[in-house]
Amino acid sequence: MAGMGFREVKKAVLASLANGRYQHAARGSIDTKNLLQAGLVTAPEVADVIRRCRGQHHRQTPHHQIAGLDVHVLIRDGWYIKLYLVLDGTIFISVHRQSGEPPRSRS
Amino acid sequence: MKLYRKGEKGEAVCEECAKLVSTTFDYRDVPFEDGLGTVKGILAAVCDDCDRVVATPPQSTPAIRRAREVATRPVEISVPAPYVEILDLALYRINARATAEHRKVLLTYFANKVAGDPDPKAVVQGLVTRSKAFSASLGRVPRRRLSFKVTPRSHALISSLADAASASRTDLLSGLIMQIENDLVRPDKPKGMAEVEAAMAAAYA
Repeated sequence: MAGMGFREVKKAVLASLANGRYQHAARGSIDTKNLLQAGLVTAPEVADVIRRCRGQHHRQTPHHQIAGLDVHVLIRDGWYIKLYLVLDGTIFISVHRQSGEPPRSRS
Repeated sequence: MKLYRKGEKGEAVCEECAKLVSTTFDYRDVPFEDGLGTVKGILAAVCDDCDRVVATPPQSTPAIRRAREVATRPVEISVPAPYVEILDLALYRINARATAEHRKVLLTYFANKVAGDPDPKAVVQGLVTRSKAFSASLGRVPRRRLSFKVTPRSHALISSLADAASASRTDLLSGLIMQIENDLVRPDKPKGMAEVEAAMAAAYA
């Protein structure tokens, strides 16, 4: 899914978060720094952050292993969201606070 | 809301195979990357080529969260900002790429060091006295939250050190930060740096 502009990426990721067609990358194990995967932040909360993103909050680079696959990074309000898009949705590589501070505990 | 099912096909990057692969959803036990526990029997996307777990769907997140809570214990304290700055400065001296995640490694390293002293209670009480004097000298500064998850063993160690000295966890950890300041921040040549570096490297091997 190469060559998509920011607006298309934003629309696709928001659609994924709304309809549940997303997954979290796992290299054989679970990285707890992905707060969405770990259940420490919700999909609507992440969607709120993404909605506030504009072009200047978006970076796009080729995947270090796979030619033709772009990795997207959204940085906004202290949030760092890294993902790539596949045919059936979004795969989040990381969703975390840049300061390293976790979100408030959820009981 | 999409519900993924066993046997369903998808695609994802497999870093082991270094390519975009087709995947099949199946139930697997998946460990946490930091070694603190395993999530049992969750639905995961498995690489069709190498059989490795390459992704998890949202429906597995509640089980991931529960497994994490069982495998770890939270530590949350509120301290004046300079304490966090001292901790981060010490980490920066050890490794300029250290992140907030490393704070707990450094604190538990020093907790273990204190526990190994012939009289840990006296050490903790001395450090707590020093930290109270330091806090009193700070004036009006913002407060910061230090929050991390540790193994049940480290949590028990922190609790037992605090209890033995009749101190709170906040006082104990503030005291440990005073020791970190003394050993790693203040001196031009930090004390015991090689051991600390080795411990940090081992924690994230």
